[in-house]
Amino acid sequence: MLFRVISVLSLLVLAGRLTHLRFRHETVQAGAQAGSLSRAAYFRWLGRGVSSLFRPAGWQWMRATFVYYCSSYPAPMLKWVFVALSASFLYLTVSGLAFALFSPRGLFGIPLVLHVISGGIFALSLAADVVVRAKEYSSIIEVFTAGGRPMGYLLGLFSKPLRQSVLYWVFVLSGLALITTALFSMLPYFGFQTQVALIETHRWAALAAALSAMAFFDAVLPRKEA
Amino acid sequence: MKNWEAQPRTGPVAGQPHASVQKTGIPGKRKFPCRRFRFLFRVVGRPARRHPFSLHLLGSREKKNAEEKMKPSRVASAALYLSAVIGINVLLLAGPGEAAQQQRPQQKWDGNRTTPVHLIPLKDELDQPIIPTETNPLPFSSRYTCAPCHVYETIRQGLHFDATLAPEAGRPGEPWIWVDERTGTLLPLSYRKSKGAFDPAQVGLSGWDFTLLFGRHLAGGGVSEPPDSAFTPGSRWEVAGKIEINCLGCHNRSGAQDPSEWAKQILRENFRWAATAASGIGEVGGMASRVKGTWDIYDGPDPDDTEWAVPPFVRYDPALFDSRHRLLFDLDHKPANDRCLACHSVTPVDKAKYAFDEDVHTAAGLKCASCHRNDLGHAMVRGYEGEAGDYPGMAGEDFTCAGCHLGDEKAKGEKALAGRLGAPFPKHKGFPAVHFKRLSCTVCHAGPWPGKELTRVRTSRANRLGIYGVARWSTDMPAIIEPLYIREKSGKLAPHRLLWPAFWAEQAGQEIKPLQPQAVTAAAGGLLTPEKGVVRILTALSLGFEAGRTAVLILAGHVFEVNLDGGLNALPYAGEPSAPSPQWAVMQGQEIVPLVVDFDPEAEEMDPAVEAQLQAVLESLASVEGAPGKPVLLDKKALYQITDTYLEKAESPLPPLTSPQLAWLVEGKVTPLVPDAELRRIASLAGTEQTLTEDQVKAVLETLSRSSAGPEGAEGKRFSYISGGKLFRLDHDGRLEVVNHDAAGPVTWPLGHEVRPARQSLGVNGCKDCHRFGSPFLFRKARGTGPLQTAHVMTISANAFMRLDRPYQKLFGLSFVVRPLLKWVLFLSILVVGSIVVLVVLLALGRLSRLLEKRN
Repeated sequence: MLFRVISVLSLLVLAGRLTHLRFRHETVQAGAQAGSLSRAAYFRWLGRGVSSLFRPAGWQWMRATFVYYCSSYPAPMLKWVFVALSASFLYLTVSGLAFALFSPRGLFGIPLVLHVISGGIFALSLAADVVVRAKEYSSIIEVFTAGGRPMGYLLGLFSKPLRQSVLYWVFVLSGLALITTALFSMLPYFGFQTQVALIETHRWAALAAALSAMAFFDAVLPRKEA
Repeated sequence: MKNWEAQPRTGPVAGQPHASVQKTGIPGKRKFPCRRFRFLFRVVGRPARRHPFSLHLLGSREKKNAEEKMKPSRVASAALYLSAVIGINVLLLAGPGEAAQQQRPQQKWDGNRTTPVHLIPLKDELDQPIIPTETNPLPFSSRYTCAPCHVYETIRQGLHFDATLAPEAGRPGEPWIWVDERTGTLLPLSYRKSKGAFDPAQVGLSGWDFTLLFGRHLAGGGVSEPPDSAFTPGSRWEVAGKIEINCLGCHNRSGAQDPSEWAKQILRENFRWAATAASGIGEVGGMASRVKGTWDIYDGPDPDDTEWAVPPFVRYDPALFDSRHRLLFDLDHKPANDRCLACHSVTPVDKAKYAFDEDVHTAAGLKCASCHRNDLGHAMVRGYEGEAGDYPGMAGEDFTCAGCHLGDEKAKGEKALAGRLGAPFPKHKGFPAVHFKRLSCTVCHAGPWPGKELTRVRTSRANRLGIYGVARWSTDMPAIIEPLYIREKSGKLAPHRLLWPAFWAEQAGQEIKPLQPQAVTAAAGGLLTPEKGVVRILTALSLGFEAGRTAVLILAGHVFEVNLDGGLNALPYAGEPSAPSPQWAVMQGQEIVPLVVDFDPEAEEMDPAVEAQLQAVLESLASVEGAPGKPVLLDKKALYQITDTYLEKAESPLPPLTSPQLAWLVEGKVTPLVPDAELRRIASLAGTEQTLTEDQVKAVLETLSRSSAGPEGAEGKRFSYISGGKLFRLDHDGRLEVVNHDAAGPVTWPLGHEVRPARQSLGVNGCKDCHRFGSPFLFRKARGTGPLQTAHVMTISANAFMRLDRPYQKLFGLSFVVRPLLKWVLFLSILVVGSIVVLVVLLALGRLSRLLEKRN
């Protein structure tokens, strides 16, 4: 019950926060007027955005976003790393959280089989992605201290590059926890209490991975300019 | 109910004379009122109490005179009389049990852990003490013998005795199976609500009928101890008595406790004597079943019939009693396992006794009663998950598998701890936690290992096990198979036993009303006994042989001979038949020779020995009961028959035969000795456990339909026969049609034993014990069986019982083939990602330390 409550709240709060920041940026860019940053305006903006996903304009936006992400990978082949990682993680998140939140029985049936298959793909693609992108996000210390001390550190703490690095590594660590708990639950070494603890860890790691992935995706995706 | 200890003694104590005995003044000499009194005084020491069979009545002349003098006035007498009447009414309304409880508060356990010595007097059902040496004593009554200390009314609410009082009894148990091989009946019955089982009253069975059928394995009480108001017409409770709760059936530690004797006495309708006989306390003779319906215990023995209709009687061994007529009961507070297994044995059919492994709990030293406990109320703990919800006051959760092995996590104190009675704590290494939500403990740990085929078992109550005597009691039918994993109301899978019911029924729409076997037999007549004709012929032929020679029939690769039950035994025939089937022959030891020796019927003179043999055979056949005509022998063109005690040869009306054949000559026509239809039925059922063929079923259904049709040919009721999971009935054209019906579905009940050791539990070899492409656990089939020989049977897959999707389970099982590969992928991924994470952390630490150095 606690997991369900915290999952729903944290996902909604983070999604709301990130979309609200984008709404503010877009509204300011477009010329803010009195009342244009109100709650009602935000929800109207959100509604328009969600509905646009189901129209050709929305699809074009998604395609453009996909192209943008793929362009950050050096070799064409490695684009498939991103595709595999994101697609598998998307399915894992949706299936896992949907059953965890709404099904009293938990994951079962064909979704379970696909979840396990996706888990294998996720593990492989995460390893490949880390190999490729680790260097890019490993200069946390330099980013943190780039502005000089002490105010520079504070500013560095909120800088976009640092945020992206931290979110990336949170995602990687969560993914590592997911893979480890999945593997350990399949080994004949751990008793019932440990199995239960592994499942709980897997759930919380999945939530952390989902939240960090959302925030990372938002941090990397450029905002609309006027 | 009187409390024997509280009763004031009106007679003298042992060794002291009764008041009616006068002193003569001569030492050792006393004056007795009569010779019988003197005899009894010498034997008993004091006068016996009044008793229906007792020859001595209390009182003497002097005592009566004294009483006359002391008579009170009429007013005082009336007042005394009225107060006595009022007092008696109060006692009657209060009830004997309550009176006893009012007199004596319910005993509480004083903490002593031994079983108290039960050196107590016996009491009969009239609440009178039993004197072992008196003439024609009654059998002892558990109600009055045990009851002063153990309240009978409380005990009779117990699980073994309350089937008619508590139809809802938690998880369903094994139903009673009414087995009748002749009609092919395997009818599940239960007073408790159980899916697939019929209420005995629905089938027309009264409590009396039910007791006769199943009393062999009943514990007494309940339906076999009905109130007088529940006596039904046709019952003989007044003659046989009621079956009280058989306390000794469970609690007798003596090796003399004999379940076979109990069954025998029930069969003889010696209900009130059964407990006495079975416990070995007394010898019981006579048969209530032969006694007239007007007899009761006050009539005593019949001096005119000491051979046949002998009323039941009991003889006690005085050596078992002490000088105060008290018997030592060797009792066990917690019954030994043998007492439970007398009614609750379940064993695989193909297993030898020495090879059978007992339950792991028994092997560890636990008794059945160590877990299946109860207080005086005898509401026994059954130990299944969720029992506490069905019986809140019973602490049932304490004795489930988890209760002892895992403890109760939600409880505090001792109840939270595992390891009760030394139960090992299961680690369940590598076992995903989801299994504990979907499976009960018994799925992996109880019953036989799920092999390719289901295991066929026999149970005490269904197959009448454990009753030994001259006759063989146990039956092969019904066929009960296990284990099938079925989802219970808790949502968890649990192993079950399964029975395919078989019975004749009257069908009205979708409603099915089973018919009693005797009703079917009465309507079907000889249709259900095709072997009778052959039996009569073989018996008649055998009577004409000398000792050691038996007439047999060779048919369809089998040798048929008459058995002790009046049926036919079928043995495989290895030899080559010298003539087309059927062939009548003679068996002498292991050798089989033709009944009619080979001879040339066209010869001028017949060998006198052959002639004598032919004559003997035909004369034997002439004595066959119900012979339709004159027996004849046909050989080539000749016909031989007995005419005026001589063997006469005539011309055969049939075309020439290649081998001799026996037949009947009926009004000038030759008919087979045994109709072909009967021979076909006998041949097809030979060597099988089936007792009916499809054409028999069709014929019986036609007979039933005809017998129920109106006098003007109006359409009668619709009848059907159920077997092997299918319903057989006649369609509008009179042909036999096979349909599905809910009533034909299998009857299942959960099993809890035998529990296998941990190293023999499912999953010990890994996930593939259950999760693989063709695993027996998920995919083996339960095929319908029954008394009917037919190819039309229901087949249900194991996954269907579990309500699991078959294609998905196949796919899921396949996924375990690549599971090792998946584990390697995950492991390598962890290695790569983990290494890089560690590397990055180390690099970051390095940079941080350099930064700090720079600052310093």
